[in-house]
Amino acid sequence: MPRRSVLTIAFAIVLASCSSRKPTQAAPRDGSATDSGSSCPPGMVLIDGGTFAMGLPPGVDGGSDEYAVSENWRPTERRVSLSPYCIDRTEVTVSSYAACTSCEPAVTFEDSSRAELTSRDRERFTELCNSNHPGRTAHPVNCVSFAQAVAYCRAVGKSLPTEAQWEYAARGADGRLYPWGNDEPSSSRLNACDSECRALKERLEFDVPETLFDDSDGYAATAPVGAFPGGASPFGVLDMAGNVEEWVADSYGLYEAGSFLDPVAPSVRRDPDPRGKVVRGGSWGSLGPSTIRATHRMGFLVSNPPSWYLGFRCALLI
Amino acid sequence: MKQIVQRDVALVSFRRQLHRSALGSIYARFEGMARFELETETQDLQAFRLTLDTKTKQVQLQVDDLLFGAHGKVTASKNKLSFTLGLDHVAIEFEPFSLNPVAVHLPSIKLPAAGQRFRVEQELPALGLTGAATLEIELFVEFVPDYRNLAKHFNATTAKKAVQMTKSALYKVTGHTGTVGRLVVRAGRAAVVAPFKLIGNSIGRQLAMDAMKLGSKTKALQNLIVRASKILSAGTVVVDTWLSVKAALPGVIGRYHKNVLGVVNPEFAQGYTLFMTAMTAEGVRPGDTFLDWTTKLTRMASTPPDMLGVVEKLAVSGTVSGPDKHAKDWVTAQMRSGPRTRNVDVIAAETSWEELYREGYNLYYLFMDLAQNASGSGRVASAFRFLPLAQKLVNAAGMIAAYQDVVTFVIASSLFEDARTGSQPTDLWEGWRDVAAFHRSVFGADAAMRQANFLSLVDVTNLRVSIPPFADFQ
Repeated sequence: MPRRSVLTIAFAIVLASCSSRKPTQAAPRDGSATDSGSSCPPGMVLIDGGTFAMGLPPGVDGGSDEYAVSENWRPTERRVSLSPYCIDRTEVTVSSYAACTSCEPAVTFEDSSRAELTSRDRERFTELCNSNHPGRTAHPVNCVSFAQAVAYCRAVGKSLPTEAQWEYAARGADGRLYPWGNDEPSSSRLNACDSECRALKERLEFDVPETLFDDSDGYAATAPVGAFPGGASPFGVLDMAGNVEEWVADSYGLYEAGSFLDPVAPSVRRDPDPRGKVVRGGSWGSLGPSTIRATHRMGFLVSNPPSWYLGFRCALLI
Repeated sequence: MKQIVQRDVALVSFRRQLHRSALGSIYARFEGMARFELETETQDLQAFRLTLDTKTKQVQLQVDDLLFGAHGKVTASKNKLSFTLGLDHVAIEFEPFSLNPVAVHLPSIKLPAAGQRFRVEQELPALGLTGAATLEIELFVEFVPDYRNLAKHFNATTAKKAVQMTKSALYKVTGHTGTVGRLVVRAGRAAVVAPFKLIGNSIGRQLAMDAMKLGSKTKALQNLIVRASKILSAGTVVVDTWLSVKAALPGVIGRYHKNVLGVVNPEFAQGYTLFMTAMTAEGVRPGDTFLDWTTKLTRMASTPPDMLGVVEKLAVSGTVSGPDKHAKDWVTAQMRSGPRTRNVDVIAAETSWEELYREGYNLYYLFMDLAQNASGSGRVASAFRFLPLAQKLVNAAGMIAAYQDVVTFVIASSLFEDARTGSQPTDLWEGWRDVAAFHRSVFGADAAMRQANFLSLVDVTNLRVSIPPFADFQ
């Protein structure tokens, strides 16, 4: 059709791009996990990929940023499809982090370069940052910045998981609220704030309005990684609800409804704020059930001082 | 030592009625979020479990105050309403309902509250938190018609006018970005469709099924349209694409006009149906960028004399007068220098396809005879160089007309709120996917067959397009 020349071609190109510029539609797949072995480095779990509804479904009571919002701001579904990837079975430990010779040391605050630190801050950092304690080498490394987490993962040939990879590894595709299912949190499933945690926090002059458990989970602060096999996710990934919260790769913002294939940060309704990165999962200091849900999220400014609640794990796209 | 935690809170569906008349109600609906950046001296992230229940009356009132200010007041008259947003006064003027019951003219509204940053401890002290929050707001002004009442006022003129006005308003809307409020027109096309829906989706479905059983597939669609039109008490539910210039005109001009139409109208129809064919193909998923679609087009550097205007005047008054510029001089100048063109960026939503059609028509009119009968092969060859340009212009006009019809449908249908259930489509493009699937089922999955079927619905003599992307058959 010679007469349809330039404009027709342009229209055809734009039509084609209409489909390609929208987040890719992915064919649903059933996800499954394979133990590390042939495909993943040791200590990682192979997740074959799959499709799941990310975030809370409309109607479940939760933080409003746990819902995807549609164009008219109404909570709706965000369907995410993921390619196969490996993810660390546990959080990165103090010993693993220390073995990284090219990595900047986690915060110890032994030095006094941070003039703004009060003596109380210094006491807290000393007590709670695991790198300060030779007996905690099997505990998750905490008090690390986002940049340090990124650098470590890169140094070992991996990367931080995306938010979607993290959530899928934590809850799979069946819509469960917690890694182990929908049963209420208990001290046998995760390390969160219990009676010992309360005592520790009170000693360090934190405000502790409540605790997650009345009984003891066995640890005042962090626990050695993998100490709670009863809290394993459907893929066998551990410590996704407690111990330390975890940096993920995405910038923080409300996430968008729709269907996405391997979404990478950021996929939010408005321009992302690169100052804030998403933090996922609960920690040893978690006080309420909503903050340990597998959908729980918040933004943490990268310029903040490192936190003793915050660690990370790595992922590897295969 | 401060640590800052971010939490986004959606302030979902905050709606206030601004005006109500017998024909419908107008609402200001605010949708948005607040980004909280909460500070702590304790380094205890777990203390920040922000729970802002936007459903409670108290929080709504607080947000209301933030948006409207302490003295928020809404005044409405027959064709104007105004209210205060923060410190700024906003006025909206409407087309008088008495003239057109379904068209609403909406100027752009800047939202002073959008991007506003406030201290949480001052504005929302009940939260017991310290930090700042930034409002991210979109304003929707909605006209929700009283469909039963509107149906009584419907006729072909108001329906057609409403569609045109809605198009204009919507195209302005698509130009808005960022902090400027997005305006939503809940009138026009949606109102045209609405009475049909109101009468009953089951009736609509039955109509479609009945129609499908009759005769050929094309006939089935035509039948459906006719019956739907009767129910609407409107002349037609499809958008009459344009042009009522009669083919039967007296004298030489009339015959010449007919010859030109014989070329340019099929070209227009081909452009229109080609676009519809592409848009109804399996797997086409237009996204929001579709609304901003821009392409390049070659147009004449100097506008041709308006020969179509001559024909139009002849059709109306029976008299002939010259075009707006001297045709012979213009043609001579063009022949001397060859086609002088310019490449222009065409924003499809904002381009007047009628103007493109007119330019193509005029160009063809001026050079058709010359190309066939000029003395000397050089002059013939020169004249022939203009004809493809003319054809491309009308082909592009057809495509853009189709594009605009699609956009009108997509946006209007996505805004449609079922009068009975109050539900809305959640996806802007949902309606189009349904329409495309329907067309594939009726016109065929094969693109060539579908385009041929589309073409059969175009009256190329009067350039009346009866392709029913808008028929409501759900």
